[in-house]
Amino acid sequence: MKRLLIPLLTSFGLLVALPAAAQDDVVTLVTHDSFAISESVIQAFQAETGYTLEILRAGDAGILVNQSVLSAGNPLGDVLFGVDNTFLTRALDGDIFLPYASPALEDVPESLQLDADENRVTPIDFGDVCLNYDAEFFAAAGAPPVPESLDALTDPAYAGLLTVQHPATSSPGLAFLMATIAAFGDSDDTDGYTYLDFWRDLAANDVYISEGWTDAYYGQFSGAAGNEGTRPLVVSYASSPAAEVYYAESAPEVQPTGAITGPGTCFRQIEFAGILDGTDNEAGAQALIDFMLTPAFQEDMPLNMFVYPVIPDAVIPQVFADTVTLSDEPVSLDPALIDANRERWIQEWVETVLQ
Amino acid sequence: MGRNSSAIRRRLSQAAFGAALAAPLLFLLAFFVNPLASIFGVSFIRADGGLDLSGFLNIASSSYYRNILAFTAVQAVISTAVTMAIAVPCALVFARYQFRGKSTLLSLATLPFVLPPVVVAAAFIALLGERGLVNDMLLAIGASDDALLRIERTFGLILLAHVFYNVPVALRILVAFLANQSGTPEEAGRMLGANRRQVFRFISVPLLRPALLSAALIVFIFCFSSFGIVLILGGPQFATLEVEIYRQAAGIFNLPLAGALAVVQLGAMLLAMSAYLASTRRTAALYSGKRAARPIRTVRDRIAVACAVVLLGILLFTPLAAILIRAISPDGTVTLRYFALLAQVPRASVLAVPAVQTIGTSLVIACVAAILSVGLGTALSLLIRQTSGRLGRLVDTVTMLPLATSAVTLGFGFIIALSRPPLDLRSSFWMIPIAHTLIGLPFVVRSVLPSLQSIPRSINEAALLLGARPAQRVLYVDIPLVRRALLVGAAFAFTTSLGEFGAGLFLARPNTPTISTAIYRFLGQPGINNYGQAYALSAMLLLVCLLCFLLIERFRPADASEL
Amino acid sequence: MPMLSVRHLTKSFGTQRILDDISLEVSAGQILALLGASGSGKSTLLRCIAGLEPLDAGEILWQDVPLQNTPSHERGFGLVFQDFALFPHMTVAENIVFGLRMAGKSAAEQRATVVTLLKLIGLAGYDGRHVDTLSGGQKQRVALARSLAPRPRLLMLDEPLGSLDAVLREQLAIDIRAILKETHTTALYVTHDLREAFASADAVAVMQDGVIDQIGTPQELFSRPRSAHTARLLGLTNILPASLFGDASQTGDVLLHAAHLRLAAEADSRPLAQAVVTRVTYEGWRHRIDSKLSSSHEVTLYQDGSKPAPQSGEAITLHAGPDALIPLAPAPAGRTTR
Repeated sequence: MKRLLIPLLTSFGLLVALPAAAQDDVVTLVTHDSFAISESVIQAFQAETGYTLEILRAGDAGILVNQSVLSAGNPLGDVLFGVDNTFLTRALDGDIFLPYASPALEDVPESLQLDADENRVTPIDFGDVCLNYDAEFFAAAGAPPVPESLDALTDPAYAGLLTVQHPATSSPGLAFLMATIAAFGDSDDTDGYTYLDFWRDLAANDVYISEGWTDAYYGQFSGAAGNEGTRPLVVSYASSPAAEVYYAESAPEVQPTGAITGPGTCFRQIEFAGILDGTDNEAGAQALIDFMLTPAFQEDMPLNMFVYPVIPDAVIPQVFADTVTLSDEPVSLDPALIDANRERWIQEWVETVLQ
Repeated sequence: MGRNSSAIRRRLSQAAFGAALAAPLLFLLAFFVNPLASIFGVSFIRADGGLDLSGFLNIASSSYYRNILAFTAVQAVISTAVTMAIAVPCALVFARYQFRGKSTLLSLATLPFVLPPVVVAAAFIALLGERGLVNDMLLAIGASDDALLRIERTFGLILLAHVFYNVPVALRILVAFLANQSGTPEEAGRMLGANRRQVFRFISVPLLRPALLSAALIVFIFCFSSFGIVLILGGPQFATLEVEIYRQAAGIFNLPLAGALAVVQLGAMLLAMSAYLASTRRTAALYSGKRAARPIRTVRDRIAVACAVVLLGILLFTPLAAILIRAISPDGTVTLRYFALLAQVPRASVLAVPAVQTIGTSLVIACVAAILSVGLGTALSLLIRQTSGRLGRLVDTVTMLPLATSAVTLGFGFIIALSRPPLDLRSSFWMIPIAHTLIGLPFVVRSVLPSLQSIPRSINEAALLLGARPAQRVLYVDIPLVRRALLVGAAFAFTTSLGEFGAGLFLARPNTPTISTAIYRFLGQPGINNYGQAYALSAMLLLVCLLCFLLIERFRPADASEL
Repeated sequence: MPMLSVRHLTKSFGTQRILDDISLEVSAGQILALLGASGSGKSTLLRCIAGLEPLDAGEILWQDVPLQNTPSHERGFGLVFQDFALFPHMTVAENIVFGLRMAGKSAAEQRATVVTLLKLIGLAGYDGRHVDTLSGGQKQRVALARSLAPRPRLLMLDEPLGSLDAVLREQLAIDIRAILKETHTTALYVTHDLREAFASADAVAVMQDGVIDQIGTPQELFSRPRSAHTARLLGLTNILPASLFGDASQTGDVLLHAAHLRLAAEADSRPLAQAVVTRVTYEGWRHRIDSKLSSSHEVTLYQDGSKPAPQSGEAITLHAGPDALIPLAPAPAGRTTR
């Protein structure tokens, strides 16, 4: 017995102790599955600051925030990136961030600074959640026209064409739900067509519900290059068409996909980063936040995550400028309003769509 | 002086032995009672201390949650009915006829019992998914130019997976029961003038009824608490209580509602579990002796046996074959590329570590869980044997409770109970091993306790009178005598931990995913790389489980009762 | 000085009193047999002495030191079980040295003990045998050797031959006595078999319904059984009302000791009663003669098998030797609940 016990205890001791023995020169970025950045930018960060960057993907944005709230004070890493304005209040109420006002914030437009008083989170990028369409499908003879508004989606002509994400497990899904609430009104709007009526019609029109964005875009959407999806309409980003062009093997003659950016159809999403309370490398975490606002990082984001930089001076890549139109009238909801109603909206949505 | 020091030593060793026996009770208190109490806490008590019934009101008032409750029950009933419809005729054939390969087939048929739900889900996607083997074959023979079989994310696929899982369970219970029916009641019936049909109707069926009930109840329990299968194969449209608890807690963060659902789930499981235990006691009372199976004689016999064997063969082995085929050929061409990918971490990977590392993580967790389950389970069994009467029965029942508590509920309880002092284990390695220990504990106790109880009292007294202290007696006499049962219990705990999904999904941290959560994340992502890796990883997990299964079958006592 | 003393020991299970005010002593090197029918409480007494059952009242002392707070494994007593209770997962040698291992004795000492004991019990060379492969008698001897190995201060044997064939028992009991004497072991030997008790023990304690009826050497017991119960246990069945043979006002019973009953007058005998032979049974070395007195009481006597026996129906005169009439004490005040 004893012969066995000692090596066993030793190995468990090691196992348990190992994660705790993190070095001080490592900064761990906890983020969602869609995070991507160029290797050269990571190298630049390491060269400039001396810190090694480790990236930990925790799942979709909602799970990321929830997991961080659950591990408040004892975080998975040093910096969290990927909380957006639809989940912002939950993260702030969860007390998971240390305040930090980066000097680079001066250049960021005030409209994007949603926690300007305390600076617990720093805006890093923004983008519009919009419907994307498969250009080839809609160009075909007999196909309906590209829908211009949300109303149009309930038309039988668009039956079986749309894929959306579950708002409980996907942040574009939640953002799109917000867009419909802004467009059709909350359910307490007793006289008239509310967002729930819209969703009921959409469900009747055979909408496909995916768990997350990746599954919807790369699994179901027919416009994404090289996949076998069958639905020509998907909830994605205004910038997604740029990705299709950018990643195409040879420059396409016509843009393979497009975004529908008409008034009231897009939801503006701002993504934030924050220093996780309980970090054992606060200096490194601050250095990473500062770095995320440098042109090197900001200008690399568009082609990696297809979002817009928050620094106005950042140079936007040509392909972006050519293919992306931001919505003139994006919808946005007050974070406090979102926080007060988020669960009710999701539940009402679930009850209406997933019956 | 010498007398005094020996008295002190004696006290100390008694105290240490007592502590060793009490340790599992403390463990259950801290890691089972405490999380469950926390679930009751979040579901009933508001932050300010007042009574909060909003979660329950929500469930009661919302048709969505009522529907989930109804779906959970209805799918379990349908799954149970279909399972029994297949298992009962097969069991009758297996019990009645003796044929070559019968015991091997019967033994292999229990394999699904040790298979992780993610592997089974992956297997059914590999076989019947839109880009699965069956559709590939239909396309190849030109039956259609599009995927013909479209049952992904339908109840049909969930049902098939449940049937796959549970036919073996029902089969094993029924065959064990039928093989222990002496046949004399039927003969007595014939002697009293009943014809064949009357014997069947008035004697055979009533005799079999308790075993049918008991098999149906355990299948119902498994289907009612199904999580991984429904989550992966069902998609967002389908939710059992288990799945909804996970969604509410991890996705929407509605803890009161998740807690209320967990309380409902717990209540339902306890009810079903106690009905099951009562039915097994009735079944065991009807064991009357051995019945010899007869050889195949007529064409009718031959057809019956062939049907049963082919049906079981198709049901049980095609999904497993599909996963092995897809692992080396996810898209039609044979390649080991996806096994190689497991060792890499592309920047865009959903995993922060190479996928092979998840195998190591899971193996270490399973080892720890198996060792802890065996240690605590043995101590608990000793305690139950030692304490006679009501107290012993109470400890026995408490030990069985984790079996009635679903893994998701347990994982949820851990998240909310063990994330604050004095037990703050959030970032610790121990969360998952401890949860898995609780899940493995009932298996170990069920295996070890009967073995321990069958040791004659005189053997223990002989050791005592030869000067063995209680601890020495346990070490040199009890444990060597129950070593086979210990091995079987350990292998069960190990295998269960290795494939465990529900608790792992709650508790695994992104930097140390388990093999099951890794497969789940791969399956949730589109693209051949992700599917390929999911299949490759599933195939490896399948093979490890197969090894454990062979170990269990090798050492299981021949007449051990099921569960 | 007595080694083991049991004083006023009382023990009940529920409302059932199993042992009632038991007192006995065993001196160094003595073998005391506890003889009684099943249910007489003799095994419970053994278990109490072993510390396997707690006492209700009374005390157990070893060399005048009370043992109440000494757990079984520290009493230094050995016990041979009726089912032998050999450890099925160990070899013969491993079984035998178990007690020495527990005491932390050296491997050399363990080996030496195995050799000595196997020789003593006549199983030399059986060291490596698995206990499952032994016959019943062999198992019994291994169990004995296992209990002797740690040199117990007191060895208790609980029906050690109870699960063996009757023909083997007497010889094995003699063997056990020889081994115990050779090892100078103080022993308590529980049995329900008279012949086993007489063959093995220096003294016999007769138990009935939880009390000790009589303690004495086999000769003392046989020649002067104290009560009708003890007499019957010893196979002495001629128990008749005392009033038949003397003062008609006498109460109680008297034993007509078959060993001292004759058919013909001898120098030291006197005629006792007239009887009619009811049955004659030839038992080889003796005839058993059942007869009936005029009072209808039955009397059994024996006659040398080589001599001619009376016929059934024949009238005979019973002659009594000097110790033939033994007055019996009333039944002991034992358990009254049964």
